[in-house]
Amino acid sequence: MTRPTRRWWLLVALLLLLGAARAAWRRLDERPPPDSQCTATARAPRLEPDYTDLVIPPNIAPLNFMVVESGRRYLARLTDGQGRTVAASSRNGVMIFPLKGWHRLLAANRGRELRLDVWARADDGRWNRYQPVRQTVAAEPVENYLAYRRFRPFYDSSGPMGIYQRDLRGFDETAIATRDDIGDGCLNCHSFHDRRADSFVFHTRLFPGDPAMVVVRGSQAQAADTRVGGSGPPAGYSSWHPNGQTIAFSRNRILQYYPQADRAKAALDVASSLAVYTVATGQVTVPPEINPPGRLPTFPCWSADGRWLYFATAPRLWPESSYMPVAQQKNLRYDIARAAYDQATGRFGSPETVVSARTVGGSALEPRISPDGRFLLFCLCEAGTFPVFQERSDLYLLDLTRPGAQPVALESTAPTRHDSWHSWSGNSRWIVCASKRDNNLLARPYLRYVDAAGVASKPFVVPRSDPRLHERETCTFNVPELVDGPIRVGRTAVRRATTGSRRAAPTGQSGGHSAAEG
Amino acid sequence: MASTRRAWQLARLTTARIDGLLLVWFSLHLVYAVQPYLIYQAQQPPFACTRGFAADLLGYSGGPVRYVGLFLAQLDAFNAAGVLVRVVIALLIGVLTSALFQRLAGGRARAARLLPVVLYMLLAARYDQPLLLGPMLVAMLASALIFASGPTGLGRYLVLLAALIYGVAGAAGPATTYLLVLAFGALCGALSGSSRRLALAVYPALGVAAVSLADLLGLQALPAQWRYGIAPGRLTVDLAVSLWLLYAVAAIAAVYVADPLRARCHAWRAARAGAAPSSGGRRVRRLLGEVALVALVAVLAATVAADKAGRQRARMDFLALHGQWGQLLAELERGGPRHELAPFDVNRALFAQGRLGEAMFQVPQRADALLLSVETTYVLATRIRMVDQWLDLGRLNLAEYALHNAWVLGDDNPVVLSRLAQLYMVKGMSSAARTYLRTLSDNLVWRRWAQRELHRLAVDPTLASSPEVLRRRAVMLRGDDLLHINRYADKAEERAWHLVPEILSSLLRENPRNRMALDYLIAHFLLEGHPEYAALEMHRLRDCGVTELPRAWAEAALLGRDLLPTPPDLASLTIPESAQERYWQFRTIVKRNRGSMAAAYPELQREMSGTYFLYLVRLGLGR
Repeated sequence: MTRPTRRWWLLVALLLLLGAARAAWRRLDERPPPDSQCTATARAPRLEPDYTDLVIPPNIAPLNFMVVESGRRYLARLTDGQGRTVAASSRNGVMIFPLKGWHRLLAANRGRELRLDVWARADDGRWNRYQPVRQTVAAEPVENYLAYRRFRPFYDSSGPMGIYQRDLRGFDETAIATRDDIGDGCLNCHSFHDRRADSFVFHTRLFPGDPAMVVVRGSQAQAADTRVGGSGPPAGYSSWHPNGQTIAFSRNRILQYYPQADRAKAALDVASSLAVYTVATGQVTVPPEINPPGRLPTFPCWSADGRWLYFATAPRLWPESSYMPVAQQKNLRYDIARAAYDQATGRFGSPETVVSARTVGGSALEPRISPDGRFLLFCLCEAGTFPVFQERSDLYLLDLTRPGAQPVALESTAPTRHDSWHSWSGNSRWIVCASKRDNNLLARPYLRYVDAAGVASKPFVVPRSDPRLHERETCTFNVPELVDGPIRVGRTAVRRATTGSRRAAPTGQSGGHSAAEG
Repeated sequence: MASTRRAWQLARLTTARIDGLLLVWFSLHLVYAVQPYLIYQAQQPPFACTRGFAADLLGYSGGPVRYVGLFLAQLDAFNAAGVLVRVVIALLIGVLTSALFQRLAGGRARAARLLPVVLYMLLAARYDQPLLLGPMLVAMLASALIFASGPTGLGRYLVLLAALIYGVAGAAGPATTYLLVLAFGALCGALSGSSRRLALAVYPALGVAAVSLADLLGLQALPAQWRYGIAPGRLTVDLAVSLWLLYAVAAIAAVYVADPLRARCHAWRAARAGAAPSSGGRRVRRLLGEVALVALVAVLAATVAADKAGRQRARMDFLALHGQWGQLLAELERGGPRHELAPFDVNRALFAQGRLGEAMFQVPQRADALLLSVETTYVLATRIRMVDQWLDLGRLNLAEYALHNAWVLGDDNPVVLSRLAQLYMVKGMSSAARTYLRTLSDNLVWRRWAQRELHRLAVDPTLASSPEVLRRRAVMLRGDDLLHINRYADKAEERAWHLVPEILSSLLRENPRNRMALDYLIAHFLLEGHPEYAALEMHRLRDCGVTELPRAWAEAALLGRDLLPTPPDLASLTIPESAQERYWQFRTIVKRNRGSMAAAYPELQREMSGTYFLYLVRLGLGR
């Protein structure tokens, strides 16, 4: 062996030795201290985020957290009934569990309870052992991916903004489309066909440029102009019919305004209507049945069987010509209604009220039907169209299979929730929502389990690789949607669609229902 | 033989002396004329000591040099460290260039080796150039030297080119990137030994092709906020580009002149062989020549390359954003060059010094020089001034609006983040404030401040014991007056701007002792030429504990008293006799000119300088 070759081998051997030593040290470091060295503390440890007493999906990434207790060394061990463990240790309280060990433990314990023990070593060398925390691993997994929009709060300036997907089994995040791809403008309100990664839409507002609905099928993206007659409000919130051929969407004339005290931004739908887009033909119709004069229908959502279209609707409290009816915002309360849909003819029945604003005492918005068809999940806030800008907004569940049932708050005790933009998992057991409960300014995606009876467990923020990122994230997340697989459409395809080369010709419109313009 | 060695030693000493002189001059220039903390102020480079921030950049081509550049740019905030960084970079460039020229020209083209150093020195003093140009140049020169340190060839060149493209492509603009690979190709070509001429033709072309390919494939993909893009279509010409271009040309020229130069050097060395050591006179002449060279560089730096406007703006921004109003006022009063924000700064500084009512018209005024309006500018420092103005007045939501719009102009700019934290602390949203403070605690420069604030929040979550927060809470608007601003709907911002009196009055309704709102309201009416409206508001001064009207206010009150059908309520507010005398003097001059302001103007200009009367006449005459 020549001298340089020998030197290389020596280097490799040294690196291997260092690796082995580190692994051995880590194993030693993660051993629980003997009871003789521990002082029992009669309370659970304070963790950030609060990952205590949760029901978690069996496929979720490690719930890394910070131990907010004084100490100079920390140890955490998650243990199952058979004594299998996964552990993390640190000197600064940042507990990061190994990905593989975590998944092995969770996979082996579906439907069972795990026990989390936390120790903190005090300055005098003794260990404080806190009361164990119970975590339940649900039998039902959540979708592997989460798509959301991430941007800075909260003005309409051209800051960084994009729609991203996150692998919930780990921590990888990739961009689906960002402002870089579309130029100066806004990306919003993505919606998936039955949580499928290969069929979804999102909307763009370009400055300057025409607004568009970008329809993604497989690896292809195409932009469509959904404005009736090439003018009027573009598509806002959309929902795919289960058949994948029809998309219901709202067309909202949104007034953003800036109160001078309290919350610095608010918004209101001055006018809105519902329309239907046929994917195959690019045709837009504005059905008069769901757009009665003098009403403000919005937030469409198809039922799981496609026989009903649910939506929020409120009486318009101002004349049609009114430009800034801001003062009426506090009196504007939405009901949730539904209209029957005949797939064969494409016609709608008359709307019927499902949740009355008067009964629930607020504005009921963003209806989402569980895939098993049993529950209606919606947002209740004091007034107005946009829960995200309200001081409080809570999620409510209505059991549609029980005639006369009343909506029930998912959390009855928490003082502040600020939840909105909720959606269901495909197995109807998980709800994801955007919640501002942490700081009343920046929304984070929260997951929670709902059992078959509709009882919700404690929500928890989607974990991050480094738990310190939760408290340093200066972006807000909204419209979190669970997706069954990675979205594979390329950003180049999105760029082409939004910047013109793959824009569909102006869509044919029919219906011409000017009365529905609101 | 011994004399040749002596000549060489002497030449080396001379080189070291020039380098030393240049470095000493450069250090002094940076310390006294440039002041790196002002460069930091002008650029506010974001940086976080976190794995995420590093991963964000290092995962992309162009990221490494930007990461290094941003890290080094943080040191500018600590003036001496900024100086040291630049001197070390200049030294590195000098050493690397010397080594290159040693290989290229056999050690005799010493003057040429100074070119990149001098160019860097001139460029380093600019307030608009990112620091990463230095590391880029060092990376390029080092790569070329690594290329020449072993067997040269296409494979070695391509590996180094790939490393260079990963390291720097897209980090500092398209022109810089292309010029850098061109110069690198040229240097490697020149260092290629026997295949030099072929390599010189092929290597730069390969470099350009590789960067273009990287661009086409989107490999440059530096995150949007960091990327300038490297598409040739976006090539622009500015000072940096010109200098780089000059350098690239010089590098290529060096290749072509290397051989003749080397031949000459040999001839020169042969002729010098056995020559006597330099005489004292010759050494003096050489020394003088060196001093002249350094002096020339110094003159160039002070004239052609000096960024006086940039420096002055950065200085004013620094003083304004740090609330050093006394110093700002002193500098402006010394008659230094004035930038467009000077009138706003003067009024803000006068108010902060409690002299607005006294001295407002002793400085040049403009009718719109009081409040910075929403969205009037895309300059970050101006928007931050606007934020501070609304924060101090008590219009927190306007400050919030301005802050979020300012954020767009700077990527996680620490000043913006610090103001956001302060804003939410005043609003009582301590969790939101903590988010921004924790982000700032990862910043080298702001870490200490952020940790102190976090500690304050931990000890006192409502900050009820913080005088600064209490002062702002005392004046903040609590009742909503629904001022709508919808940027895209109706351009209402402009309309909102005409609501200045309403904006200020609502603050006074909320808290009659909001002195800033009151002073600004009175000043607004005066600047608009309505002393009578100002006089009507002056009774509010009693709530602020004023008993004697300050000079400008008193002059306006006297005018207002005559203009209004019923006299304003000025009970218990005394008007100084000096103001009354000036008023009578003003009336006499106007009467003497039969009421013609135009005719009275020259005399008023002479006699009534620094009074509101003169301002009003100027406003009326449109002068």
